This record gives sequence, C-alpha cells and structure tokens, in this order.
Amino acid sequence: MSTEMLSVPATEMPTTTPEATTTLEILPPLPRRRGSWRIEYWLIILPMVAAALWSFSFRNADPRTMGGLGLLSLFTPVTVVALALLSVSMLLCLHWNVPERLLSLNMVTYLVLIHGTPAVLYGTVRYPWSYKHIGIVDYILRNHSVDPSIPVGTVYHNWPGFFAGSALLTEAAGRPNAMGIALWSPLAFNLLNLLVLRYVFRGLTRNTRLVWLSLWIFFIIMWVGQDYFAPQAMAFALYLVCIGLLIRRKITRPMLAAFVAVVSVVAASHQITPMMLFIAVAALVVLRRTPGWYLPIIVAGATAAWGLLAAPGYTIPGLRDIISELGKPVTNASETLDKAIVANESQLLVVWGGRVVVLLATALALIGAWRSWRARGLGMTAALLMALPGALVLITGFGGEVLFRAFLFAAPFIAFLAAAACLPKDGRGFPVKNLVFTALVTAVLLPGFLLDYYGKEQQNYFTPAELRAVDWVDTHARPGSLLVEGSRNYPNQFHNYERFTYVAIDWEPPESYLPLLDDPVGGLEDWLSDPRYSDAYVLITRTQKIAAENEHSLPTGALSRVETALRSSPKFRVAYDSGDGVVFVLSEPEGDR
Amino acid sequence: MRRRARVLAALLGVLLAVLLLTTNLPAARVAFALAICLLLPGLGWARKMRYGDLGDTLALAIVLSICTTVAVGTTMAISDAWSLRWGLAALGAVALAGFVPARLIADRTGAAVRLRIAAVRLRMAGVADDGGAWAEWYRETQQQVKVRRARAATPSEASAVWVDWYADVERRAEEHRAREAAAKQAAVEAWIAWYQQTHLLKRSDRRS
Repeated sequence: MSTEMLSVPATEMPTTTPEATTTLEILPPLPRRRGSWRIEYWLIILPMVAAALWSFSFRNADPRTMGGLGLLSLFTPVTVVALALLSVSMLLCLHWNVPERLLSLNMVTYLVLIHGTPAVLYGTVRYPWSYKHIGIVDYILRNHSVDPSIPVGTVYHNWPGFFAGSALLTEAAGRPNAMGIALWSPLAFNLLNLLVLRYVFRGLTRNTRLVWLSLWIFFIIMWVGQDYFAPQAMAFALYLVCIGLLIRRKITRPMLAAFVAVVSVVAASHQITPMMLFIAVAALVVLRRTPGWYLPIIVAGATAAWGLLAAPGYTIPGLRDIISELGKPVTNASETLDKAIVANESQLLVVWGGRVVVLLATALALIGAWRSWRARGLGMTAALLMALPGALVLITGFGGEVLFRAFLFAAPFIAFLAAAACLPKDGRGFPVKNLVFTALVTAVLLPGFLLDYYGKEQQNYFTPAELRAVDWVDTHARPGSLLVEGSRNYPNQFHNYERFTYVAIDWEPPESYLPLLDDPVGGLEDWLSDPRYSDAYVLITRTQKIAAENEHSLPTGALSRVETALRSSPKFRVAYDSGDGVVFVLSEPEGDR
Repeated sequence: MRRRARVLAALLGVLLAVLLLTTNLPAARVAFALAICLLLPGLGWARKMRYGDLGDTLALAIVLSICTTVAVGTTMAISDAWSLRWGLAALGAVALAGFVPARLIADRTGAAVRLRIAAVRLRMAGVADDGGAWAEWYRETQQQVKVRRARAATPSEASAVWVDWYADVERRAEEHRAREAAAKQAAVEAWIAWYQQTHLLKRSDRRS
C-alpha cells in the first residue's frame, strides 16, 4: 500500500461520474499538448491585447450619440479587431488543448468586455425594467416588508425572493439602493452562468474541449438579454444547477438537499421557471435519465405550496389565464413575434440578427444530436433538455415573451449539441478543418449576437440627467400622486414607487391619446386636475421620445410637440428640468384644485 | 486544491481584507457583504459534495449562498421581522454549519480511521525530523572541507578532500532515506494490521 492511498480515503473520492451520453464521450481525452511555453505565453497575451484594443476603441465613445444599431454604432475597426483577436485566441486555446485556466482567461475576458462595457461606458443601469426591480428592493428597504395588495408591481410582492435577497445584500453592503448591484448585474450573472454551465456540461461529458466550446457557443448565441437585475436571471442559474445536480449518475444526500433548497428558492422567486423546471425534471425521470421518482413531486409541491399559500391572490387568477392560453402554441408564439418592431432597416437588421443566430445554432445542434445518435450513444439528455422548453409555448404566452424564455432555457443544450457538431466525429482532437469550420460558425453567430444584444441600446441607455429628473419626481411627490409619462421606456419606479398612479400616454387607447395629442394643454389639464390625486405631474424624458419613435407607439415627434405646448402654456409650469428630463405641474396653486 | 494553495489563498484573502479595511471602508463593506451573502453560506455545504473540482465547488457554493440569502431575506420580509443583524447572524450560522464535519462526528468509525491516519502521518513526519542534526552536520563538515581544501598542497589533494566529503554526504543521505522508508513501511503495516483487526474482522464477525 502506498502512502498516497492513505492520503485519499475512499470516502473522500469524488462520488460523481459524468454521464457518458455517447461512445465518443466515454473515450478518455487525448493527453494535453506538451507544447512549448511560448504557446501559453501567447494565449495569455492575446486576450490582454484584445482587451486593451477594445478599451482603446471606446476611449472617446459617447453613448448619447448611439444610432439605430445601438452600441454597435459606436464600434470602430479597432473594436472589431479586438473581438476577432479574442475569438481567434479562444479557438486556438481549444485547438491546442491548453489548460483550463487559459480557456477561462479568454472566456472571462470576453464576458467582461461584452457585458462590462455598458456599465463602464454608461455609468447608469440599462433597461427600464431593471429600475422597476430596483424600486421593489427600495420598497423593502424602506418598509422592511412586502405588500401584495399594492396595485403596481403586485407580482413582485407575491414572489419576493429575489428582491428580499437583494435588499439584504444592499443593506449589508451599506448602500442606500440597489443601483450599484443592478449596474453590474449583467456581468455578474454571466460570470455565474459560466461557472454553472461548466458544471452542467461536465455532467454531460468528460471532454474538456467539448465543455469549453459549448460555453463559447452559448455566450455568442445568448442575445435575449435576460441577464439584467431581474428574478429570471437568478432563477435561470438556479434552474441550471438543478439540472446539473440531476444529470450526475449518482445523487447523494447532500445533492438532494441542495436540489430541495434550490427548488424552494426558485418557487419563491419566479413564476415561469418552476414550470420549466417541473417539465424538465419530470421528463428526465420518466425517460430514466435520472433516478428518483419523487423529484417532480418535490418541484410541483414547492411550486404549489408557494403559489397557493404565499401568493393565492395572484396564483388563482393567473391559473385562469394559463388555462385560457393552454394548447394555443400559435397564438402564444405570435405574441412574441408581434413584439418585434421593424420600422426601418436598422431594426430589420437587429431582428434578423437574432433570428439567424437561433436558426443557425439550432440547425447545428440538430446535426450534433444526429451525429451523437449515429455514434450509437445519442446525447439523449442534451437533446431532451433542448427540446423541452418548446412545451412552454403550449402552456403560456407569458406576456409575449414565451419564445424568448423558451430559447433561454434551450440555449445551453443547443450550444452543447452545436459544439458536438463542430468537433470531429470520434470526439478526439480539434483538427484544422474543424477549427476553420468553428471559426466560420463564430464569424456568423457573433455578429448576429452583437446585433441583437447591443442593437436596442439607444433606448436602453439612460443619461444621469434623465435619472435626476425622475428622482426629483419620486422624491417630491406625496403619496397618492398621479404621474403622466410620455412612454414607459425611461428609468421608472425606482424610488417611492408606491406613491403614484402611473399613466403612460403611449399605453392609452387611441381614442384616449389622439385627442390629447391634438390639444395637449387642454387634455393634460383635465387629467392633472383630477381631485382624486394629491399631486399630479407630467414627465417627459429623452428616452421616452426615442422609444416612442422607434416603436411607433406614438406619431412621429408627438412627445416633443407635447413638451413644446406645455412649455409655452401659462397653465403649466416647469417644476424641474435636467436637460434630458422635464417635469411639468399645473400652474394653479395646489389648493385651487 | 493543495494545502499550500489553500494557505496562500487564505493569506491573500486576509491581506485583501486588511487592505480594504485600512484604505476604503465602504468598499470593504461591499466586499464583505458580497462574501457573506454570495459565497460563504454555501461554501462549506458545497465542499461536502466532494466534486474534487474547484469550479464545480465554487458554482455550487455561490448558488447555495444565493439560496440562503434569498431564504433569509424572504423570511424576514414576509414575516415583518426585518433585521440586518439577525439576517447576517443567520447567514453566518449557515456558513459555519457548512463547515461542521457532521458526518465525521456522527460516524465514530470513520473518525477513528481518520485519527489513526493522522497519527501515522505524524509518525512519518517525525522520521524525517531529526531536530536539525543533519543540517548541522552538513554545515560543519562543509566548513571543515573548505578549510582543508584551502590548506591542500596540490590540486589533486584538494579534489580528493572534496570527493571524500561528497561520498560521506551521499552515504549519510542514503542511510537516512532507508531509515525513513523502513519507518514508513512499519507505520503503514501497523495501520493495516490495526484496520484489519478493528474493522474487517468486526465485519466478518457480524456476517458470521
């Protein structure tokens, strides 16, 4: 007996064995190339050079000047060179089968550049929806509780897990609000997804090259932008961990305990993820991809318990909606497709960029699944997990987002099977012809991803001046106030949000907003004079105008005309003007109203 | 992760913490909040899964920490009992509980085996540790050889002095290695005998 045997008792040996889904994957990986140190040296230098070039290319960039292609309109040839260098470096790492630390260096550099750039360049949180979520955290920080009876944001108070956790983190960090956390959320969630997806893929294969190529493909196809400060971003990572736990051949007691904990948190944090989790777990159990008949019961039990005991006021009416949408895949899918607005060539490019990515990646994934099947192994688990999110379309429209969510849940396994299609049939090595093929695939997918991920940044970017205007209203308004907004696309509801009744002009029916646009002063005077409200404000901001133009929700220049009319009317006065946001109130003394 | 790497990581962590505390308090608080909410509560529990891979352990640690933070925050929010102090205490308790070797405490046999292994390791370490006698002898004789070489009349005589000393060093090193190997072998055999007596024989008794 050697002393090494003593140093690792049998009880400490790893208990998990990756599931061998194909005969290719059972083969042990080839020995790592014992290349000279120069290769590793260059593969460290390349991502650093790429990062330096990328940073240099954005040195004078002004996000206010973004055009119809969003952040892409600020790209320069140097930016493209940086991205190309990074891609080449990643593919060379895979070709030479270098240690994982170099692969992770490349991948982390890519994620930092793609998802960290908006945070550094803008200095403000992206996406209007992020601000709503910051507002819920703000509510919990101020009131130290949730209130499901508040008419605005009711769903968040019924599934408060993510917000309560964020509030605890914010308070522990000594911050007044969750802006800082939200600013860096896209990068943080993507880094978390990198770790979690590696864990999932290592459960599917022992081939390190396949794992990292899958990760690369995932991060160049994931354009749906579900990585911002939101419950679904957290729930997605938790969903992946649940899958990762189940696709191990042996489920130990600590793993089962972790599964129960994660499922419980998902059930308390989001509505659609438990549905998807139930479908996935049930399918894995029924098709004997994982042991444990009780696992779907755990998921269903946790979901039902939260829905019926903690959020009955929302769940029961929601069930009626689900039943009405059940079995209508075409209607549900159309809701998402109808959301795609194509008003000009830039928007057409953006929309088709995303669609080409989905189509190409799915086609590659089907080739990968077919090749796995031909190799008498069939990446059955991955193919199953890729196909299952399609079931969501049968169940719900999810407010016109179901196709995005279905792609989100399928994307990891699309990436895995697409990566399998890019590697040689025997799973060994990464010869030049496969390298060239993968480079071509990257050359098509990456621009498509950038188009859709960055293409709508013109209306996702908010200036600090715009934030100041909104903050002024949020701080000065009394409870029970009316806030008339030009559009919902602005940093809304992030502070004292429960004080307001919100009316967005572009959300009103045409019979309501068209007379208002004809006579803005008279129409808004009527609205603001309503005695039910303690205070009343009109807020028009820069991105409201951009969104109304891009989405054609209002006639061209409508909000600018409303603003001009209010500025010139003696019935209104400007209460606050930050340059990018203006707040109007009625000129009459409040006591007269 | 090897022990040296762990110690290095811990030292770096402490150094970073001290640096943050002494330079910028708000940044330090953010760093500690991130650690206590998003890493530490799940770290011990993730290690219990014994994946043997740093990435997998880290992924599980972060996810379990997120779950703990969400669970604590949600419980406090829906029960109208919000308290940062109690929340952090709960997170700290979960973090500490993850590092408690519960299985070892519950499993006395396992604990006995581990203690015995530790004892064998200690005994082996003792073999190599001669209280610095070897190093002392080496230094002394090296000085003597230097003096003798300097006093040598001819180069061949000087060379012979050095060759003799080198042979002596090699002989002593070989003796030391042999003693060490024998002690190790004896310790391992003693461990095997003890394990057979206390465990394997017990099992065969139970079966019979």
